[in-house]
Order: sequence, then C-alpha cells, then structure tokens
Amino acid sequence: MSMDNQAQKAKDSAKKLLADGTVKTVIGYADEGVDGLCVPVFITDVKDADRLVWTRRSVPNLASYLIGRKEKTAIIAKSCDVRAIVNLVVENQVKRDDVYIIGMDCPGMTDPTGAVLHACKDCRVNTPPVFDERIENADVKPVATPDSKNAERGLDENLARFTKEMEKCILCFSCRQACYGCYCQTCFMDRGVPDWHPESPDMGAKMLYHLGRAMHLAGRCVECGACENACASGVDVRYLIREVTGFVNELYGYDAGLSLDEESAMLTYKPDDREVGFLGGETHA
Amino acid sequence: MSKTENPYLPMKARIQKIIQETTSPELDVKTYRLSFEDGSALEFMPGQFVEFSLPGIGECPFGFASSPLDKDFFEITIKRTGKVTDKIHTLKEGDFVWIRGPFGNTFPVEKFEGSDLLFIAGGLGLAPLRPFILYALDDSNRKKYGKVDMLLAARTSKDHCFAYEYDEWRTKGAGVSQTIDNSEQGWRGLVGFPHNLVKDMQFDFSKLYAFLCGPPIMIKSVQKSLMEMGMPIDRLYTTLEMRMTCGVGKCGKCNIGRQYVCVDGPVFCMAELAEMPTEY
Amino acid sequence: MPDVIKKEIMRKLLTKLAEGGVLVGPVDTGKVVEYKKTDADATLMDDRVSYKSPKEFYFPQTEKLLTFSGDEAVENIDVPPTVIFGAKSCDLEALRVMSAVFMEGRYADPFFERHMEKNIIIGVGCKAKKPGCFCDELGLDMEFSDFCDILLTDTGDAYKVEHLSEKGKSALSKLPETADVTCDNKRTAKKPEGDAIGLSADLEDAELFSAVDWSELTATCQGCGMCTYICPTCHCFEFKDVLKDGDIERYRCWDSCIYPKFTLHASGHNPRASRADRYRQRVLHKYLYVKKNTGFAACTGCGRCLRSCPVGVNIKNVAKAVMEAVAK
Repeated sequence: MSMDNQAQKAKDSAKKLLADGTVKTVIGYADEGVDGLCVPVFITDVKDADRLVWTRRSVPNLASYLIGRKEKTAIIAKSCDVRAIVNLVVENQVKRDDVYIIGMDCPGMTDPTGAVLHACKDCRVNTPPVFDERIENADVKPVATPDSKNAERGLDENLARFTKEMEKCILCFSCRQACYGCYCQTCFMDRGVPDWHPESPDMGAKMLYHLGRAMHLAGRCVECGACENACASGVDVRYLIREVTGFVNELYGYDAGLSLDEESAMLTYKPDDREVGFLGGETHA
Repeated sequence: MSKTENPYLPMKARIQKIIQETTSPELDVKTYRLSFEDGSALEFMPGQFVEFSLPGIGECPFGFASSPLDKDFFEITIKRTGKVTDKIHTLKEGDFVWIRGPFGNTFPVEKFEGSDLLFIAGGLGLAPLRPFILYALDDSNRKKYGKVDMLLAARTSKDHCFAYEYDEWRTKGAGVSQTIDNSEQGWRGLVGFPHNLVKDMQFDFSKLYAFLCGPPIMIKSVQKSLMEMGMPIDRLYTTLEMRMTCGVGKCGKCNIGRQYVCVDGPVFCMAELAEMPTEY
Repeated sequence: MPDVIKKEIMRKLLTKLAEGGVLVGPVDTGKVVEYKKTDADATLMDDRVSYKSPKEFYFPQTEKLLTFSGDEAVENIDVPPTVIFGAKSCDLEALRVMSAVFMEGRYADPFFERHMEKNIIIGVGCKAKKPGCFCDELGLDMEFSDFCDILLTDTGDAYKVEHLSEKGKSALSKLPETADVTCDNKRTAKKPEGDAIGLSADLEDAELFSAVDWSELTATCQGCGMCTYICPTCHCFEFKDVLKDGDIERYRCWDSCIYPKFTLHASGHNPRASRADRYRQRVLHKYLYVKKNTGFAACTGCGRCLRSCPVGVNIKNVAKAVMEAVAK
C-alpha cells in the first residue's frame, strides 16, 4: 500500500472520527509549506478533512500539540511521533484516553531534494508501537539492526566534533521548541536565577545548553530527529542525545516510547540499577 | 569617535544616602540619594526615569523620585524584587553605581497650571509621582496650582513610602490622606481601597487633573470610580512600567502599538492609553 | 570603458577591498548557504540565497558596547571595516528599514552608525524567485535596490555594475581593472504588478488586536524564535554583562519577542503572556508599528522565515488574514 492510499485511509478515518463525535479535533499534515513541507494542521470540521495529507515531507513531530488540550484529539502520527505520544502518557503529560492515535507505518521522511533525513536513516522503529488504528504500508519493512549508539571516539575527537557543531549554533532554541520532550514550563535556560546567559551565543552558553538538554532527554528521546530537522543552521543536534540514548539503552535495556506499561528508566529507581559514572559506582569505559 | 553621542554609556554616581522607606517584612523599599563625582546631579523633569547599572549584575529602569528642583542630588526609590534589585539593596552609602539618562517624557506640568491636582498612589506608586508633588508644592510653583490633594494607599501602616514628609506636604497646603487595606490598632488614617474611598471625596471636576500610579488593578478601579463621578478621561494620567532595556526606543521591549514606553512614555494620558493595545 | 566586471576580476576586487578588514559573502557550508567571513575564492557568485540574512555584520548577534574598567566605562569603538558582498535586494531594503530604526527618532545608535560608516555593501540583484520568496508581494524589485554602495547584476560570467554611492565609486578605483568602470545609474526600482501586502498606517493599533483570532492563526507556532534570528529586519536586543580579565564588559545581544522572557517583569507580570500574544507582536510590529514610525514595513519578503520554520508558519498568510479581516 502506497503513501497515497495511507493518506486516503487517514482522511477517511479523520472524517469518521469527527462526524461521529469521537474527537473534536484531528491533528495532521497539510501540504501547505514551502518546498513541499507538510505543515501541522488542526482539523475541526469534516469538510476541512480533505486538507489532510501524508507524504515523505510530513516531517514535523506533532506529539507536543497534544499537551494541554482540553478535549479528545485524534492525531496522525508517524511511528516516532507515536513513541513521543507514548512517552508523554508515561510522563503524565497527556492522558491516553484523550488521544486517538492514527498510527502510520512510516517509510521515512525526506528533505526538499528528496534525500532521506538523517534521523530516518537511523530509524529503529518504523511501525507504530501503540495505536488506536494502524494504517499499514506494505513497503515499510522491519528495520534490521537496532543500534542506537554512535561510533566510539576519543575524548579529543569528541570535543573537536562538539565544538565544530556548536560553532554553527545561533542559540535560537528551535531544537528545544521542536522537541516533544522539552515541555518544561520554564526551561533551565530561561531561568533568571541562576542566569544561564542564554541571549549571548558564546561557546560556553551553547555547550551548556546542548549538554543540559541532552541530559534532560536521557531515556526520553524517541529519536524522531525533530531537533535536527528544525535547525536552520545545519547543526547535528541529534548526535549528542543519541549518545545519551545509547547509554541508557546499554545500562537499563530501555527505549523510550515503546510501551505504555514499561517503567521509564530515569523515573524508576531500583536498588540493583547500574550506576555508571555515579560516585562509588562503575566508571564509564 | 562617532558623531553620535552614545546613549548607552553610563556615568558613575555615588550613593550619598540610603533611606529605608518601608518596615514590613514583605515589602522592602529603599530610597537612594545619588550625585555625580563633581557634586552635580542629573537634570530632569517629573515623570522621567534613569537606567541604573550594577556592572556584572545588570541594568534596570527606575523613575526619579526626588524633586527636579534639587540640583545637587537625585533620588531613586527601589523595591527589592529581583536579581538586580536584590543586589542594589546590599549597597552602602558611599558605594558607586552607574547611571544613564534621563529618559522618557515628562508630566506636562505647565498644562496643569491653574488646575487642582489629585494624586492617587498605591504603595511604591508614589515614587514616580513624588517629583511632580515636590515640584508643585515648592514655594516657587505653589501659586501656579490650585488645590493639591493626595490619597496614598498601602497594604499596611508599615508600607507607606515617604511618610516622614507628609506633614511637611500638609504645611505647604496639600491635603494628604493615607489609607491601609485592613484596620490596625492605633491607625488614625483611612481604611479601605482607594476606588471606594475616592467616592467620599469632593472634587471640582471642571478644573481637576488626577495622577494615578500603583498596581494595575488599583489604577483600573480608581479610574472607573473617578470617571463614574464625572472625571473626563483626558484629565487622568498614569505612568507605565515596562522592561525598558535601552531607554532610547531601539531594543523593542517596551513597544506597545507604535509607541515605545521609554521614549513616548512612561507618562500617558488615560485617553491616549485607551487607544493603545492593553499590553502593559 | 563598459559597465561590466568579469567575475574573476570581482574576486580580485573583493580581495583588494578586504585588505585590513573583513570580507563577508555567501558561502556554501555543505549543509546551508550562509553569509560568513570568508575569502574571495570561497564567495558564492551564483543566485543562491542564504538561510539567514547578513544583518549580523552590521547588527552583530553579540556586540561589546563598553567595558567597566575600574572607575571608567569605556565605549567600544572597535569596528572592523567590512565588505559585505552578495546582499540581495530584500537584504538591502531591510538595511534601509534598520537604518531608519537605529538612526532616526530622538536617539541615534552610535554602534550601528559606525558599522554603516565602515561597511562597503555590494548588492547583487536576484535572477529568480526562490521557493518562499515574496518580495514582489511587498512591492519590491528583486533585481534592484539602491540602498547599497555598489549594485551588481549577474550576467553569467560577469556583473553589470551600478555604483551608487561615493564609497562605491572609490571602492572601484582601488583596482586598475575596475577604476574606469562607468555607469549611468539611471535605473530605479520597478514596481511589481499586483497589490502589495500591507497594513494601512491609518489603522488603529488596538483595532487589530481583535480583528482576527490570533490563537487560531498561530496555533502551530512552537515558539522557537528562529524566525526572528534569521530575519533581516528583526532588531530587538538585551544587554548582558560578562566578566573578563577583571573587567566587566557589557554586550548587546539579540533578543526575540517570541520568547516569554522578553517582556517579563521582575514582579512576575508578563504583558504578553501567551504565544499568540507574542506572535501577534511580531506580525504587527513588522507590518504596522515600524511602518507608522519610519514609513517602511519591516518585512521585505525575503521568505527566510517561511523556508526555515520547522512547522511552516507563514507570516505572509497571517498578514493577509489580518488584511482580509480589516477589509471586512
């Protein structure tokens, strides 16, 4: 089944859900952006449902639009968006009953030139792990190697790479705002006391911000790549968080957003948890 | 060097004197009397403000609180509320601070000549009105104005700013009424909110100008009461507070509609405010 | 002597002009096209458009204003002479707006003034409209703007030259091959057909607050503020003090009306508390408030915010929706 067929099914489903009153709003994509980008759209009326599309340019992660919604909402969600929604439920930001997940098998998204996005090349979960309705795509084959880790590098090499990426950053916070997991009411970067100096784009502030954000996403990143896709400056924002994600996976065998029942690695304490890097614990290799 | 004078460059000023204005634990307000190294002061008119810097901590806008007729010092009244003001409150007499200004527009004091003046202030809201009060009550100007009345509100009896000079204002012919939110033992002033108390006062609305400053809710409610009593909106004035970073109409922070509070304000006639978006 | 300079001669000229200063031009960094400090060889001379505007070279993202050194506050007057090559007409028209904002009114900005004195700005007309571009809808000529020192028109392997200022003339005289270039300078901007996007300066500010449902119009905005950073006319800033070698330096840093902290009072009160409030400020400031104060709308249709917004928020459509609502 092609993406066009998937789109038609999603549209039909949206119409039905709105018509029978199951939901008040369907969040999906409309082909209304520049360069074919499909932009988020909130459909509240059956007659507008034909605006909904599903293409290789349905790039934005829509999960964060669910936060704070007052009524039941359906959402057309890529597999990674579904993982984000699941984790929002696990973290009590969204009630499972308030969401109707139209889960899409995802062949991976592309940039305007048709090249597959970096995050999509690294995709480990391309079918929705949780859904109310799954819209399959026979072309989407299971992904072979579940590998969340970056290649090993030395300290100097790591610092050089980090510095190179940070030089491009203009501290506009688009990565944070695009991230489903960055839902804090007040980000540590926006606090007045202590003042983390966010307006000044010096190297220290940039490093602090990206390291801080990476730590806060430990065991919560769903590898959707929204941060990287949002970045106009072409910073590889994702690789840092990928490192942290791999670390949590290695230590606790946990991947965020795959199950509603599994306990979140960083929200759960077990006496036998490995404590690599903690005082008195194992040292990091 | 540039042809343009640098409006961002502060001047060094010394704290001559610090006056503790309030004594309640919830509200810590101090007045800082400042002058430059050569003993001179900034020349300003009522309503204007300065940018007050503590290098390394930050810069904040504060309205002048002293009389524009004092030529050898100026005063700024500051409530402890945030990062910069916390630090300011640790300063001692003799310490240095950095000042630039004066900025902003002024109360059009000449326009009010021949009229009665009514000042209604809540808490620290008295500070930006004080320069005009002192200006109008000064011997050189007193005859230019009619009746000068004040209704000065504070949460408790410990929160009235400049209370030590109310008697002096009275001797110069001002009617000064003080009020607090709830009655306290030994309190001889009024009790209650200004928007209610004002209804019991008598005014000649044909020649009255009123100046309101305090918490937004107080300003709104007093404005409503006065207008119900017959006060025309174009005779009501207030002064706005915004995050005025640059003071010169560039940084965009105090922009409301086409106006920049730091240049087009902070003094606004209520008639003018009514035309502006309510983003303050 | 014709009014044409071969591109290889232009590179020679750029190298010459950048002596003792800085050359800024569009560069392909692999992922994006960006204005950067560069050399003449790496400077792109094609029609591609950069993802962010060149504004950081006359209004830097962080700029030292002064140093508190002991008893003194010393103004920073150090501005490197900069040759900005390849600014498009949208960028040049944006510079016109910025000049009005910073130099007109009761106060002039000495830092902006110094940049303008020391910069040589070489504009290049656009050959084609790019996805998202809408300068024509703002009544601007994509091929021409006279708000520069030298304006070039790409003719393939050469540029047709119009020098428009004394500074531009003297720049050309620095190289024997370009010293004799003459041009008539008779061209003026062509007005594109059709009605321009614009809000009438006669509109009441407050009227537009309720003209449309701003929450609905801006529902998808994620509040990142990238649009304000890459915009050629956004100019809001904040001061920041930094300790350095025992002194304290005061910097001016870009800020953004999209951030909640922008208008937050120390008391906790925020005059623009919601994301919709803040986006409304961005739109009305651009299309109405700046126009009322300077005569120019602060949007030149460069399309950067449309192209780079992660969720495709389209300021043009929002402005049009406001126009329609007002027309009703």
